[in-house]
Amino acid sequence: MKDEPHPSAWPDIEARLRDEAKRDAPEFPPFLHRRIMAAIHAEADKHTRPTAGLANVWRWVLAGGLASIALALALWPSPAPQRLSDAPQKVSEWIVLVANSDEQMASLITDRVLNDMVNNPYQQQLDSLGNELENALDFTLRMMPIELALR
Amino acid sequence: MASSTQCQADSSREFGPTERDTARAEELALAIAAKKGCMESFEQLVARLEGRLYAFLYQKTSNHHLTQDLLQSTFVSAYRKLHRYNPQYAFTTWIYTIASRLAINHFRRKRLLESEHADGVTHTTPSSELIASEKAESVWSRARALLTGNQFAALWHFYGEDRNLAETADVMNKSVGSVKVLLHRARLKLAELLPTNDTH
Repeated sequence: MKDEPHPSAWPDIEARLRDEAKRDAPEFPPFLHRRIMAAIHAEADKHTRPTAGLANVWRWVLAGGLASIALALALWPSPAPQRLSDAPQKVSEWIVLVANSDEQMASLITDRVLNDMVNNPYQQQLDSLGNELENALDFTLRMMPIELALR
Repeated sequence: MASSTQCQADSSREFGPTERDTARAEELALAIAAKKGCMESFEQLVARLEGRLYAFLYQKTSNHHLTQDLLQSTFVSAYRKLHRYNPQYAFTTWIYTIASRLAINHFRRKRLLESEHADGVTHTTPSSELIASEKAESVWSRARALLTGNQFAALWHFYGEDRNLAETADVMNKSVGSVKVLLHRARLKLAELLPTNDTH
């Protein structure tokens, strides 16, 4: 038969194929498993790196948000300080009120106490905080270009 | 690192009656877990298959360094494309296909480079000639030179890895009939050459 020129040789060929596959089987290098796994871990790290990039973006967003808040607080219109020129008028009003009514006097005293004891110290603290935030904003704005230049 | 839920292999899967069926089912469960992101499962798959794939690639290349590089590329490529693996097919089928394609691409590139930079000079030493002649005597070397990629792969899985027809068909993602035809043609080609040249 033309398709099967040497059918008698087949068992011999099959035996040789099996024997030589076993005989010439290469020994698996002991270091290769670790090398392969290191390459796979490196590949896995490559896939997780975009998450770190995203975290970096979020950090900048957070810094920007804080800077905006600081800017807003710094530029918020603070209550205008009482002008000294108004003081004599107020004093005269108090005198009139004191003369007119004990109740009104009591309420005036309360308002004054409130202003002196509660509002003024807070106002001072708010002013001080505003100054600090302005300084922080100034510092952040000065630092930002340096950070960007370092990247 | 993957969570424990990702690493839970599907133990409810029914195992076949033979040892190979059990191994295949285990490999499938590991592949599914690895696809879900379990690195430990993927490492187990590497440990299970690296020896067989090394022998398979070595038969194709006859070069240890090249085989090591190709084997590493095979597993890295498999890891990268794991999301595309279809568990309907055996994991071995998929990874042997990747290994074969990488080897084919390598030799294609090499041929291209050689044709571009052909200077007609060959650097041989007596020892390298002796090794080359010994290798050329090997029935597998002749098979590699003589057969097509599919014929060689069928021959290797059937005789080299001692698989039966169904297992060979499974690994090659072909029908049993196709594998029979491939083996028949491969044996014919070898029979044409070997008995006349060898006194074995």
